[in-house]
Amino acid sequence: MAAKTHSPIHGLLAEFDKPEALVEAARQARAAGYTKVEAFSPMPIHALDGVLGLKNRLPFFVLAGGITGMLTGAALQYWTSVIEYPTDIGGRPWLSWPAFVVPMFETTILFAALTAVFGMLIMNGLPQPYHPLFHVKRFAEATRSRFFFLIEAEDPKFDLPSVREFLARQKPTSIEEVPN
Amino acid sequence: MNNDLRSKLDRIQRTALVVGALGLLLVAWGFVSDRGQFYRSYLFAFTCVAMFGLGSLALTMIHYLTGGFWGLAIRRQLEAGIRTLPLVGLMFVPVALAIVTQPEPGAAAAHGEHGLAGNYWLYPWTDHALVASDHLLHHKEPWLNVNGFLGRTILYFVIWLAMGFGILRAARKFDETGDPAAEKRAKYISGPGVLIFALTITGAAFDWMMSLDPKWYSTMYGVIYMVGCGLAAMAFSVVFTSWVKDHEPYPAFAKGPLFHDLGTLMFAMTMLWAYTSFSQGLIIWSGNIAEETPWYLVRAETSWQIVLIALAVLHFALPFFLLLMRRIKRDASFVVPVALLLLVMRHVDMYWQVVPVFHPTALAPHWMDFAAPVGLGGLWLAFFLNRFKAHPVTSPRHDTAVQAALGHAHH
Repeated sequence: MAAKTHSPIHGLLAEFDKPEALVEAARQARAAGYTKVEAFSPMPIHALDGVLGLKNRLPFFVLAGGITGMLTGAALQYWTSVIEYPTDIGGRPWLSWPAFVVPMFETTILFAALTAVFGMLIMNGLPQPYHPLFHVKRFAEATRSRFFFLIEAEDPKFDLPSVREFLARQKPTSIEEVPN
Repeated sequence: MNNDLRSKLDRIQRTALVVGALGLLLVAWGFVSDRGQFYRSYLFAFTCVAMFGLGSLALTMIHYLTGGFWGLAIRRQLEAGIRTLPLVGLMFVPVALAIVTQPEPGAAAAHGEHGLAGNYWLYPWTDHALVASDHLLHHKEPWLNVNGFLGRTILYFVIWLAMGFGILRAARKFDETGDPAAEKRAKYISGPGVLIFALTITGAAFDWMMSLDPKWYSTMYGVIYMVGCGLAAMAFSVVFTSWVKDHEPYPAFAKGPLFHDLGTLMFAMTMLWAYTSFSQGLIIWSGNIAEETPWYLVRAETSWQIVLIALAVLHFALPFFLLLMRRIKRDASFVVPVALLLLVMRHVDMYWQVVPVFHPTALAPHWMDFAAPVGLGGLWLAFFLNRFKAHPVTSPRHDTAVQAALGHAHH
């Protein structure tokens, strides 16, 4: 960590009391060219995905996981039934693929489900025992009744006075510096 | 209903009626020139067209139990689908004719995977001499006999009509008075109704289709037909919604999210169809006994195999991957072609289920195999549109429910 020169603050956090105000602030911030931004809300706001330009790539990983699972199931059964331990069952050929389909289906679901759970955790950056936002006392309200919008100090356009002025124009109920 | 929508539906209805009448005319000529082939093609066409009326009834009952935006949005078309059931019942008459009559001796049929030679149009068990000489058919006679078959089919239709029109009456009363007891009555019919429907349609599938080869049996058979009915009605709903989506009151809700919901349900039923169809094959393949396997030997080891491969690819794999994608489901211009493909494949599936028993050595399509479904389908569609237009699309209470569900489902 020593190599990285830390900015003294993590970012600037604005608090809103309505979801519409949060969505509007996010829209303005994107329009103003800020890219390292984050929105926090106690409930899902579908409009935010589009405004923040969030792309969910998890479905593709889940599909890839499912296909991997299917191929794994096929390979496992091919190996046991044809190569390693061929067994005569009612005179059927070693490669009796109809019997393989059900286990292949199961491994498809298994791999896809595990990819979904762990992919979600990894892409969300969880578990995360520490986050600079925890320094802000009022941020606990993000799980209950308040809506927060953060512009991070890492943003290339970040300049404390101008960001503060920009956020103030969005009429938040409060603005706080988030220490790093 | 506004005039734009009415004239558009009038146009479709006219086309359907003309095309259907042409098909029926051809088939009527077939009745005179080649009666055996007529009955075979007609039975196939009947099992296809029945799917849409029966599927509408099933989806309506399921929706009364589960609720949800999708079902409210397509309720009017499902109700029109239920109103076609009397016509479907009427369409059974030629099949009944094939059971109460017999061909001239000498024009005897010998179809079936088990090669049951005898004097019958469709069902080997209608030939008394054959039944008397075949121990297994004789043993099954208490169930498979002419009066029992006709009585059961009449009973099935009476039950379906009673449930369907009972729900329609309760729904209309709710629309007119807002009486919550009326809507509750529709739900009370639907609860046991779903169970009764599953039992009756299983019986119907066993009678109409499975008994074509009275020595073959599969307990899964009824479920496959039932799922096929639901899928056919759902795919038709997608197509119909695309016809009406630009006309009041549909633009308010017949948009991306609705097509997404219908597409997802179509996806689920496509998977269920594949699951049940494959399971039946897997069970019979695993059991590997001489009573059961001939059904699949005919359908998978002769030139009928082409149809089986087409089903696997076009009835399952392709729609599966297409409907996996949200962008396709949300866009009417993408999801409607998928629904049309599934509608065609529903017919191909019924063809593969019903017809090979008559041509067990090779795939041998006859022109009546095309004319009959076009004739019955066209007539059904025209009647469906006639019924749809005869009843109000909107009612204040229905609109409120749609709006509430819309707000709830999609922000």
